[in-house]
Amino acid sequence: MWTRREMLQRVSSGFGMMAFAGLCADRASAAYENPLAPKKPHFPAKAKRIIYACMRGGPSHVDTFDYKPELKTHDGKDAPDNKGRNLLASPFEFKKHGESGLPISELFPQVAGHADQLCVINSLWTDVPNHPQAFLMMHTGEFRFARPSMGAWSLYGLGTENQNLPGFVTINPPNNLGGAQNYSSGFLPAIYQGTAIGREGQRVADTRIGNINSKHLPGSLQRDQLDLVQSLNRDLLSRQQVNAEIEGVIESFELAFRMQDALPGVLDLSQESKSTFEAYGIGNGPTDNFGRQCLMARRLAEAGVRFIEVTHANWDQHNGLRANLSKNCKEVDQPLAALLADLQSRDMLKDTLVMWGGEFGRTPHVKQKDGRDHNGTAYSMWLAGGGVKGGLRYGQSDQFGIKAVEDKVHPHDLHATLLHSLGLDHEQLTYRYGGRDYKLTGVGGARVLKEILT
Amino acid sequence: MDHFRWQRHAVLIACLGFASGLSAIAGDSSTAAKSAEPAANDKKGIAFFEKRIRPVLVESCYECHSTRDGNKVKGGLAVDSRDGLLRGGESGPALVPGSPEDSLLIEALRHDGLEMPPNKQLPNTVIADFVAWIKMGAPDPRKPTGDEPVAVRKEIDVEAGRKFWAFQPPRKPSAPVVKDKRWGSTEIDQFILAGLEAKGLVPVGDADPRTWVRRVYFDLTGLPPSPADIDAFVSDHSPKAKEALVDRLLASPQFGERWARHWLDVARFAESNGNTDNVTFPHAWRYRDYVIAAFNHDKPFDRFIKEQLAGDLLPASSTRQRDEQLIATGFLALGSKPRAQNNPDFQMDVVAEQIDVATTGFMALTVACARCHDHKFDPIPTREYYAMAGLFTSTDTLYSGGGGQGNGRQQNTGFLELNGEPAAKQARDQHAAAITELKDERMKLMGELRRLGAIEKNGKDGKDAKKANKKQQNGKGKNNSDDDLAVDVKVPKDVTPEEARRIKKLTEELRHTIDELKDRQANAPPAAELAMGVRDDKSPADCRLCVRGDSTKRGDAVPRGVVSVATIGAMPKIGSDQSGRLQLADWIASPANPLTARVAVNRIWQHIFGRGLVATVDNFGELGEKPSHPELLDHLALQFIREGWSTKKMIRSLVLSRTYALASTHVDANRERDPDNIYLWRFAPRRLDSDQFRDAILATSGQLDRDQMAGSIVSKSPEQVVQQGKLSPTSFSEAQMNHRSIYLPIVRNAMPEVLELFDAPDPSLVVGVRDTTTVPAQSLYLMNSPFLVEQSKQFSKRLLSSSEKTDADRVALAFRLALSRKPTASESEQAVSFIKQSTKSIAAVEKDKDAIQVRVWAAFCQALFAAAEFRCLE
Repeated sequence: MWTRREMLQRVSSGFGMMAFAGLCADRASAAYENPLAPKKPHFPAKAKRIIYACMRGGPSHVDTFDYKPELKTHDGKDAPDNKGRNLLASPFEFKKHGESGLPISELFPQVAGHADQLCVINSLWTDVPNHPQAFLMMHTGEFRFARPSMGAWSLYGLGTENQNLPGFVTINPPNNLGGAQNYSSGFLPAIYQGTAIGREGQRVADTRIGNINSKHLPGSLQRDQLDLVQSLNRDLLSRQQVNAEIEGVIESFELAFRMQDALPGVLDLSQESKSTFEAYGIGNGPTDNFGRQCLMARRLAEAGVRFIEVTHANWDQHNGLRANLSKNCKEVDQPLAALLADLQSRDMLKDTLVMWGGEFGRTPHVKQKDGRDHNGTAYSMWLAGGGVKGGLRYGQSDQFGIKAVEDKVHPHDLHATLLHSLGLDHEQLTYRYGGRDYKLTGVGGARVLKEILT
Repeated sequence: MDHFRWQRHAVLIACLGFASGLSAIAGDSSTAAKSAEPAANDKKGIAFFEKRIRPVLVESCYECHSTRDGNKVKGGLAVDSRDGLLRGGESGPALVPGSPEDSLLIEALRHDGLEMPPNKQLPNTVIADFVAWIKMGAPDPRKPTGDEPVAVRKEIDVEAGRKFWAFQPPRKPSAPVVKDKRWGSTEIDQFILAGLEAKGLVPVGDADPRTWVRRVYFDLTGLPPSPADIDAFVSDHSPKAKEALVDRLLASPQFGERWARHWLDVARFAESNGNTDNVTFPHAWRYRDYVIAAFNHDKPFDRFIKEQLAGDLLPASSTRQRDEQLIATGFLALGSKPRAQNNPDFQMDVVAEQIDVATTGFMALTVACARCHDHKFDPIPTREYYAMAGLFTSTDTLYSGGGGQGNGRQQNTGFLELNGEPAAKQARDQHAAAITELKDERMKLMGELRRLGAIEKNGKDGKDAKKANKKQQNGKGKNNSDDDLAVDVKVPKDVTPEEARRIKKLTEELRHTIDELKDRQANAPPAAELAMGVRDDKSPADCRLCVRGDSTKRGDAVPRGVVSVATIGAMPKIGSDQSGRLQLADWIASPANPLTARVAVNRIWQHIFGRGLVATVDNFGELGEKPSHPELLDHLALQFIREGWSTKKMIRSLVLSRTYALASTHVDANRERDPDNIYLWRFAPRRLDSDQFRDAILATSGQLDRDQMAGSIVSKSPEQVVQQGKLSPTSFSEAQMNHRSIYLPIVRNAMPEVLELFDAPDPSLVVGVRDTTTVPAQSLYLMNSPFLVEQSKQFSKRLLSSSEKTDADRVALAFRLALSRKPTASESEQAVSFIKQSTKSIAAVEKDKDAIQVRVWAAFCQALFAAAEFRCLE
């Protein structure tokens, strides 16, 4: 981070710089406060940043990370409390992996190689098993009203480590299911909202970031132009003598100017080696797109971005379970494993919390032979790195995976835990709006899952 | 560990931000205690308690719910004595002896709503024991510990609450006493000066005329003055020059466009639903235009309030007025709604939003906080929330034609039908009457023909007719139903010649009638236009209280009414056949309401002086700020009422004050005492908001389209879900148009980029004060956005085609257009040298001489747009 004074010293000299420097020397105490400046956590943090691999649509837990042997022995039998619907055994084999013996389905052969780093939570539940509500609940802790997303809350609590980059980035977010509300700042200052790169359905390779291209000005003309702007700004500041806002404008132009250089660089994957591309499956059909997202996520994490979300769509297998779930898993397995390995090799996994999962799970019982429906009463996610115990299977759903029964985890509990690993107390991280103090975890209370933290 | 994990969907609601909900149950726990008293001495029962109940309580509950050793209990609930259980905690009594199903304890043990113990549900056998025990009357020998938390269920004392300043009626203040008799001529100035003198502050000098004129143009119209406007004012030395200008600006159509925007922020105006199913609101723009017209016509603000809350119930002297009043009720229908599917709270969610926008918007009172529990800070009991809820549950909210059904389970509520122009309405009415008459005639003729056996019976057979009808709708088959326009008439064989003649005659008449019907239908006048809004429900009824905000757990019905603490005198009377919205409107828009006029003038004050006399313009309650000038606030509120709730007169008196004419000069001594300029020793510089900023760019580049926009980009497509590939969000967020910003499509979750980046409020929320953020994304927008690049080019062309020919003269013109002032000598020098420098840079990549000129000057113009001063009002 830079102090304001260092910042201003870095401003390339333009008209009026001398006068400005003299002016700010004795005015520094009334400085504009950069709302993105890194802030101290409430207590020492285990994780400095979060990468959320969001699987939109509700991945089937009983076919991936929640092993239910009894489903096999009851295959085709009536589901309890659900007459007319039959249990469907997972068509996929589970095996124990790693020293921990974590059971993982054959759909994730490469992620399974990191079993001892994964904390699988099998006891999640959410309020409403509809995509939009559950998706918003997952992202903002609320689905009735527009509220800040968890990424925005993280930035509000901690600021960002790299002032040349946005602190919260979401890659290929969906337009539906609440759209921008899922990465919005809500009533928090707008500066905390997520920066979207691309949209669901776009190829990551083709995405552009808004207003970063300065082709309309050749060569160094933009710097000359900016010098003129900053000179006018300093004149205004000296006329008004004290105006934190104008100081903020001056700083933010310089930040933007650097961001303009820095962001495309960070997102430019061509700087990566061929072996890295191979590891992430980039250039290879099915894994290319998500592989790019994961690699971008690592580059952003490395550059100090606080909260990064990557999205893989279409986990809504009401039918075509066998084919489509296999296809999805194939598309994400290798990139996710590569991300974990890459972070590990850079010694970043220890303070990067990686999270995988969707907005809910799927029913073990079926109407059609080859599809599962929405299940909000039990689903699974996994966490890795950032102070989370590896090789752990936390919480339980019932014998068939219909309902979470032990150590139940609501998204609010998960949010409380994520904030905790960032060194933030979810009860203390409040924002006053409309006369009331709000928090990410709502009013019903939430539980930090201390059992899964190191 | 948290302890009150309620059924989340019940609690997340409007109470947000509080850790618990006070019970709103009107039940009296002492009655329950009395009736169950004998059980306490029941030996068998006590044995059961000791064996089955006490160990569980000790083992599973005492850790958090025991007062022994002076522990603070969670949720206010102590379970270590019978009294503790009966008294209950913040959620109300934990048990009702004899009624397990009414006992929160059982609910909690079952994890049905409440979840106790959290995360670990006790075995079913244990829960069954508790059920059996409560059925017995909950025998329990334990005595109070003496450490029970007291007064957990604090009763709200409305009478005491009335003492709070905001619930006191505004009083005519005595004239302020000031030392400096010469400063400031208006009453407002006297109040301000008295405040300054009391704080030892000295007002700075006056702003120069150029600064003042720029200020007043932006504040009143949201647009910059042209250089000619400035020159005209500066050279007008008549004593009435300011008044004349202010009157002219107040009368301009741009005034309404500017001030409507302020109200639209509060009214959380948007043209789509947002939330989970972002269905467009193609008729929402009518409300926008209604608000613009209301400000332009200076509709008395009390009338403006009444129309928005109950325009459908007010008398109207013309069809046009009737339409206007219907459109006004769009205010209640425009909110963002959750998906109705699987949401038992849906209706109450909509109602909560309506209560919120009405009470926060007009009264700066956060009544919606009392949905799940008594208001934590203001004297508003939950019962009164449900008294108000009844007004809205007795109201039908019409916001959707079902256009989102394909994706979104959107309810099809229909819309309000407007009359339109009197002639159009007359044409529609005549048409409808004619059709009815012809159909009656046809039915009569067909009836007779049927009796004569000339029409097949399938015309009478409901089933067949329906089937046939459907077929016909699909373009197949035909039948003889009454709705059909092609009837098969056959003369039966066994009729008398007279009957045959009769049949023939009737058949001819029928053909004629049908032909006319066809003709009429083919030439129907255009259908009525539609609007979002409300109407009274056919069967108004009181709303049953929702226990802890949970719509599935209902208490008793609360008679419809309003908030008593804000009522001076008698509470309004609501007839059993009325929703009560009209009474609500009258109650809010009344001079006797202690809040309404104050809140309204405070909002106006804020827009003129940058900060409300009550800084929290949306919250006059306990958690709001206290007024900086309470007497001035009362003075203005009374003046507002006296002057017929005229917004224009109020604004006029504010901007013609000396206080408004102060310079923005900085004075150290003042700043030390009053850094935030609360006492108005100067005019605090402020930033143009997003709408002013964009409009100013267009005005400066010469591209602004000043016409009122007909409809909206949103109204050009039928109602549907905003989604990629169909009606994409970017078609709104990147919409290009040169009309003023108030006409940009305000689509939730797809806001126009320039508005979103420069702090336009989230249109799902009631926002009286906009943020002012400074973020790099704004700078990037200024540096690189297609809009800035294009408008800079247009500005450049404007300069190049002007009569100014030298670089210095063009620079001077550019400054006058963009900043309402001439450049200083050094600024001019810098600018000219920048022009020279950039000519070199551009010439390296561009060959065409004219194109070089345009690009060079565009680079300079963009610098002016990007400069902080362009966005700064001094």
